Amino acid sequence: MTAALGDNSLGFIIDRVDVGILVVTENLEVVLWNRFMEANSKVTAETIVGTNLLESFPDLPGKWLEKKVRSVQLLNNFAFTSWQQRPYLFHFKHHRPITGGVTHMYQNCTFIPFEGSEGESLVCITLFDVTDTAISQREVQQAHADLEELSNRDPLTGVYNRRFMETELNKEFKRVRRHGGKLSVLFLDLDFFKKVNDTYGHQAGDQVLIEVTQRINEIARVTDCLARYGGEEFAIILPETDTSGGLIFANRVRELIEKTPVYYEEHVIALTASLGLSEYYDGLESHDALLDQSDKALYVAKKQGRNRVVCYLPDM
Amino acid sequence: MKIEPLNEEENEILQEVINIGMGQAGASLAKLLDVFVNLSVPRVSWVSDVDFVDQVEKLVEGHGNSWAGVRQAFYNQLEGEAFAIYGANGCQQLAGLMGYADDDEDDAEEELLLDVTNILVGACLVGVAKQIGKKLDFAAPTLVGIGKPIEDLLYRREREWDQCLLIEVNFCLEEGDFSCHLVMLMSEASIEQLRSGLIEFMESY
Repeated sequence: MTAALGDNSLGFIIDRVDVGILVVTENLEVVLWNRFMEANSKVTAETIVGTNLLESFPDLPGKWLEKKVRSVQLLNNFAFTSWQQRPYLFHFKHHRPITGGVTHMYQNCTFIPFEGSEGESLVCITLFDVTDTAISQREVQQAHADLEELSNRDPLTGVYNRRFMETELNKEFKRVRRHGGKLSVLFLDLDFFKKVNDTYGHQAGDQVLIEVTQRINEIARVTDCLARYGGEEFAIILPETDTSGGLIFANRVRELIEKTPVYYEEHVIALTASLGLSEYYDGLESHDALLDQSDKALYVAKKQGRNRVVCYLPDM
Repeated sequence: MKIEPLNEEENEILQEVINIGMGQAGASLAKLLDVFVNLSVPRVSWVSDVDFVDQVEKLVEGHGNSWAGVRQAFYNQLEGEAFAIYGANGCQQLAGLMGYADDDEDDAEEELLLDVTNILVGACLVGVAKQIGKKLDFAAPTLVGIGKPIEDLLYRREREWDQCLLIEVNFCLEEGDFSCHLVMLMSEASIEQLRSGLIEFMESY
């Protein structure tokens, strides 16, 4: 750095630049404390220069800071900290007293070793306020998470969609194949659903789909995964469940749908459902095969007269 | 821009300069951590944009998807990007040595990766730059991923260069299972600077 400017001007710039600047000795004695540091910490340069940094800021990570300062001096190399891992070095208030949304100032810091005029070993620490960056990154992450969640859901009923369900089932399938365990898949189809649409209109049909999924979710376990497979057909992944457990659940679902009609405007819409159940067994080649089994069982349930649960058998 | 690659003699000096630089880096790391540090003989090669990722995978002998990577850019008279690639064990072993022993959160492990990378990259490249009289500055390191395959750590995307200089060195501690592959890539733009520095270095002997 060359400067036609005198020391006074440089001092002024260092003091007023919109970056926190402090200089410490290897024992963390403060040598320089600029106005950014004063304004944000409410500790004046007058009181802190010549004293140990940790005396005024006992909350600083002392041991870590000492190591950091020592390492930059020893290696004679810069060091950095980023808000993503260490949100702040100094716990300063943020500059969003009105708009808010954060609890403190996010900071990126740089540690710069240098030699003082008497040959003493010093470290300059600069501190950048990156609160705005942190906030916008957090917003982007939130938006990503929201979008991902949305892309996994069926817009009408809010239950998972077929794509997500198949991905989940594939994961579960691989898990039981590698580590063992139980896994069942239940298919459900509302009986004569087309008639609901034709008789009461599509809005009534939509209401039926919404309420039925809500009811199933109320009795399902948190780990079960209910998805709309298409039209009025639903699939439920039942982890850690064998055929006998799956049958109990399937019959509860069937009974619940049968005895709770959906009320739409002045109509009482009575419903029944057919269900097909199948369980994973060693040697089953893919998650698709498991879906296929449940689908076949569902087909048989329909053919045998509906409003019933059928378990898959190899000769179907 | 077509760059004349280094000739045989220049390559030899470069290898020498890098050997010295890495040696110094190992020594300062050993001093900082108070442990013995082993490092491999640095490997220097030219890679094209097409086979860059494959080359790195080969050097690191990296399969599987449990790698952690940190990227750090350097600039000024020499410029490029360095990647530190850590195996599944990360550098947890260094936590105590680096003053992180009290923290046991994920953030602390990430910060440790960044710190160790900064020290290794800084020590290695400053060592090289000093010998050939070139100025060098560093941007802050950033985490590119944890628990990923190597290609994900290196950004497989459209690249704007044809060739670059790749320097690879492997650090490990004499005791324990910490190990880190440092891959430094220097862009075409700094090859002329590198060449002039190497020539000066040679003439000073």
